[in-house]
Amino acid sequence: MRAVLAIAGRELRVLFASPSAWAMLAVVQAILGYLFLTQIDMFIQLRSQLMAMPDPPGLTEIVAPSLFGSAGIVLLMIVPLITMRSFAEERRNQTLPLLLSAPVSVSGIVFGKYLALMGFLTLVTALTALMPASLLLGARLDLGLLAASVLGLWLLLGSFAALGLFMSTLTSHPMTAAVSTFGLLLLLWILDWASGSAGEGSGELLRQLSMLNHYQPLLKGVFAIADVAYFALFIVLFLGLSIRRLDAERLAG
Amino acid sequence: MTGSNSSRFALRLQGAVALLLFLAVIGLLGYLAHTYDRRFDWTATGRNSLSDASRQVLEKLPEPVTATVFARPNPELRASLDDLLRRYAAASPKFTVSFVNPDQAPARVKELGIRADGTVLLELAGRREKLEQLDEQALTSALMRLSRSGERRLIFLAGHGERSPDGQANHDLSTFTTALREQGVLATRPDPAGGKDFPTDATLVITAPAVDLTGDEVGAIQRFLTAGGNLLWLADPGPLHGLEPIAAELGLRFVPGTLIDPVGQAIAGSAHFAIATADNYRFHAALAGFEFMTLFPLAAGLEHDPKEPWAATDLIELGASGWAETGPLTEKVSFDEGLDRRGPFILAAAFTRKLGEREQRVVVVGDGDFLSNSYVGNGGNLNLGLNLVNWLAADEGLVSIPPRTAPDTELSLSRDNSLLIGFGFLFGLPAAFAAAGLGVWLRRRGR
Repeated sequence: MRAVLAIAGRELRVLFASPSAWAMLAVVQAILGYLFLTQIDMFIQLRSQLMAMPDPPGLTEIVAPSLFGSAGIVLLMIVPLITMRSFAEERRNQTLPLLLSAPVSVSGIVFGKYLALMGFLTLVTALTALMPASLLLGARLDLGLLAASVLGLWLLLGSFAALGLFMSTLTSHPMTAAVSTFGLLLLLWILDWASGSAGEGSGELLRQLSMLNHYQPLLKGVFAIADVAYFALFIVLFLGLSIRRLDAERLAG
Repeated sequence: MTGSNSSRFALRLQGAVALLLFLAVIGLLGYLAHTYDRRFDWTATGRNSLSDASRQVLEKLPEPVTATVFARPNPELRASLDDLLRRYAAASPKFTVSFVNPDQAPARVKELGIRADGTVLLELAGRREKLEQLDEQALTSALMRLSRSGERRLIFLAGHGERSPDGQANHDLSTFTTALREQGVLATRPDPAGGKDFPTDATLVITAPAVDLTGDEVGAIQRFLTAGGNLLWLADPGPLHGLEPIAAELGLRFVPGTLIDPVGQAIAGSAHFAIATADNYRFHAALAGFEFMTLFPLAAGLEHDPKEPWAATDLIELGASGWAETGPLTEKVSFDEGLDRRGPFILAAAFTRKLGEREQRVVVVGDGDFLSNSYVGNGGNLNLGLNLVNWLAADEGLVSIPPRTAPDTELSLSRDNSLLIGFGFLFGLPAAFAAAGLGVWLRRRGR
């Protein structure tokens, strides 16, 4: 455990010592900040019309799902750039054999790197959540809905990172890892668009594999065991595959 | 790593088996989570869950219900229907949902008379109901109606040239009564012995008679009303043929003449076609959520000043720019000052009277043609008829789903706070991050 934390700490120091992480934070914050303000503006514009509806949606419902939905798409493009270096960079710099021969288990190395990535992405999630939460200064929020959205985004980013980490174990070119991660994530994201809609067997399976399909209920404030299990299993699957891949390398090396 | 080929192969095999096992376990766990899914609604208003009223109706379902959605594979439409229906299916094992693409089942669509994309057919123990507008209110009310095992009966007054409940002629009502039977409402005729009392547990339907009723028959209707029976009266322009005492009892008068509606003239091409749209329906439980356009081919206006304990509510009001034509209905009708009366007119009204615990209900419509075989298929005519019968034949056939008002419909930020939020998130934080990144970069370069 101590070794895992040591690796995670080292990774985070490396990450924040490079300008790119800060640049990504700045870009993500600027985009999401803009989207957040437009949603608030919309709420203020539409308020009188909303009040005339039979079941008027509240401020949280107007702001949070849209903001977190956009955050998912923005980070789908950013996360691959964060995860691409994890192992590909080590391999390119010839430091991977060194790392693998260190007195740490391969799983320890993978968990350490993943923990560092999650540290960064938890910060991003917190920054996103801070925006709707700031409205507590002038409104009563639907905190349950907000909590579900925050949890949803956090699990989603965790899944992005796990897949990105695995892709990074396959190659020695960080850019290759980033592009393939992005492509796969996009495919998983839009899987249920292709499946038509409800019903037919294969279409249903595709829908169940689609990330968007499991993310959306959380944005609506529904905590479903199946959706949370999907993300958890997704993370376990790709961390497991990463460990296996590096184990094979250690044996071969 | 050294070793003979065989041991290396064994290792390889071991690894492959382990990988397959790992994938199988992940897949199995995913399948289990999907199968034993539980959903929790975290929203403050529970807007993703069914209200208690719906849950109670679902718990009391006597038989399994199947909901068949006739919708083309349009993701948005299906998703919204699916979202609502799935909540019902999750709440009760007796509720199952299936989707049918109407383009692939034209025969079934035709047989069931499905018109709109997104129609939902509910079936329970052979009883059916079609819903064209789907929300929780409509769906739960329909389930409640279907669940009632007791046959609800309509008795059609007959023998004086009224519209026949099972006749096939243009002015008869067989199409309407068939639709009623699907919902579990039976249309019957009274026993032929005139003057016998009508059973008050049924709803009496009076359509415009062509010859006079005898005093005995009118007496029977009056006794039926006094005893608390519910009545649907589909009047038409023209003489009442002995029904005057019934109208007097309710404090009801008919405006002489036939309604002329310029809107109907424009839309349906005939001056005596009156058209009602969502703007013409007044707020009433019988018309809750009803927004279809309806067509009344030959209608008479109503007036009412009910005497205690009767109370009246208008259901439909139209013809603000029309008049009641007393002359012959020719191609060219025109308003004759002094003879004809200007609109607007009440076309349908509901009368209620408190009788102890229950409420006696009467609906009077100034037109019977709208439910006749010729016109019942127009717009929402059939739905209007079904709605009226449902309100009459069921004291508790409408569930009211309480509105869900979110806790955060107000936002009042002080000027400082809104500046802080707007400026801070859009410029402040990004600038801080960018500055940190620049600092890191400069320090690196300085090395």
